[in-house]
Amino acid sequence: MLDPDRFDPAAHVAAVAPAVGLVLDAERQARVAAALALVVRIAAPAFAVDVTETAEPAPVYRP
Amino acid sequence: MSDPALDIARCIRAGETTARAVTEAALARIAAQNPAVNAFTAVLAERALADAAAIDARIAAGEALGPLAGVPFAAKNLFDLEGIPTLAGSKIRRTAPPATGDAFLVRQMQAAGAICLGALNMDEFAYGFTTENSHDGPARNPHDPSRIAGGSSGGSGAAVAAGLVPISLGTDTNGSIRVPASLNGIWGVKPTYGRLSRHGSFPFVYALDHVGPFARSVADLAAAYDALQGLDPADPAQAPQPPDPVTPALVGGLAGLRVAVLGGWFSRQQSAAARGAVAAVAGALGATRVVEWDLAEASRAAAFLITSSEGGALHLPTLRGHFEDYEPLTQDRLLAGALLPASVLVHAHRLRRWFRDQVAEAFRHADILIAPSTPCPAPLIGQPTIRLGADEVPTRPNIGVYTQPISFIGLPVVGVPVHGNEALPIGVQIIAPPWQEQLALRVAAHLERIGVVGAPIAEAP
Repeated sequence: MLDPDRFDPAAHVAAVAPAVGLVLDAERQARVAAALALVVRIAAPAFAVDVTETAEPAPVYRP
Repeated sequence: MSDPALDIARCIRAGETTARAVTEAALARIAAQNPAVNAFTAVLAERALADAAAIDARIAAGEALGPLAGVPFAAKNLFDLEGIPTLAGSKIRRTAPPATGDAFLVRQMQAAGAICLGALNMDEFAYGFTTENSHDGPARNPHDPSRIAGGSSGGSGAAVAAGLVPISLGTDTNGSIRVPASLNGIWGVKPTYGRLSRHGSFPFVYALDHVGPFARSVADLAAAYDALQGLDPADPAQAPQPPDPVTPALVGGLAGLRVAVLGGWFSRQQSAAARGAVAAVAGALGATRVVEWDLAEASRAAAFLITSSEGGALHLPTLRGHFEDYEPLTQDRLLAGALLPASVLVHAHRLRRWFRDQVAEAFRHADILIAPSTPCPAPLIGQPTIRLGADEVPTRPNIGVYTQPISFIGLPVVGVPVHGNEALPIGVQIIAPPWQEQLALRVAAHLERIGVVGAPIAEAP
């Protein structure tokens, strides 16, 4: 899973944004990279959980 | 104890007043008081007066009426209301074609006799916990207009707390009913995922979106929730679960219920107000046992990921050409979410299944779990950070730290308002097993009866 310590948000935004059709200038790229860094920081506890192959998401979720 | 909505219906049925008089009074209240709270974004006076006239005509004809006959209500502006564009708090949708019909929940309220007065302020596209909407202005907390009303259903919370309408409709993806209920000091119910039809509401995160009502008494909340139930083939996420009216269960008290307090993630980082509110409710319910879920923090994180990714993906086609027309406070978050790799989304969904299983095990030993709704009472409008334990963290993404793990797995929750000795109210979540909304409402009714919680009309200092 994604390693928050090795993830490079600026490089990710620079590579992926144009690939999905988002035209962002340098200033906007920096802001989006900061937002992405915040997502990854808040999501870190989820990345730390090593789910097994049997942890299958329900195709139709039922609580 | 008064039930503002049911009392109105009772008076109209008894001929003590008319639906028209009630509607005119509500419209006058909105005209006078809404500028202070900015809860309404559209007032549908013509429609409401026509509906009121129809109710009065049916009474005159001796027809049987629904339990909410003549009761005013309003809906978060992401619900379709025939004849006006469904804004979902946005600027982009101001030029959308007017809705050609009402959302399912609005139709259900009207079938029960309720009268829709208009549309309510919200965070743009439901992405936020503060209703600091740059297009419509912030919804203001009726207890202190310098503070937020919470979000994303902030207008729904403020309208009910200010007494503009006795019932409102909102949505809850990560806490957007429970957070405004907490910060405005009113009742709200977020039902089980898949219980109520979402058809005709603008989506945010398909995997997590819920809909539900707000009210100022438990009986009113239950009456609204009962009216909203109904199977709707138009919602692909609705479960084939038969309606389960809760009103008859409200008198059940605590008999036979095992109540426990959520610890761990849910007991860290609280303000003194949140800690005091949980202690008051736990004391009233005789709850001494503490339950900890070791996946709670990871589950909150996974809900955050699903929200970022699905929210970004939903808006990507529009973001490509128009991201600068979006809410300035969320443009960058939506763009970032649209760029997340698919692997993290799949991981989050797998974790959801694991967490559901862990929680199901906990419910073998408890019928009701309690936790704070928000870490603190309402922050100031524009306040950039809140304190979580020793950390100062950004306000907007973090007010839902205690609500997110619960909605992540779709558990039903009633948000109960604690007013205590503090100037500002704060809420506590009464959490039940899936499909057991009636248990949570039973407990809420007990708390209201013994006076531990309540929702008086807010009075600004």
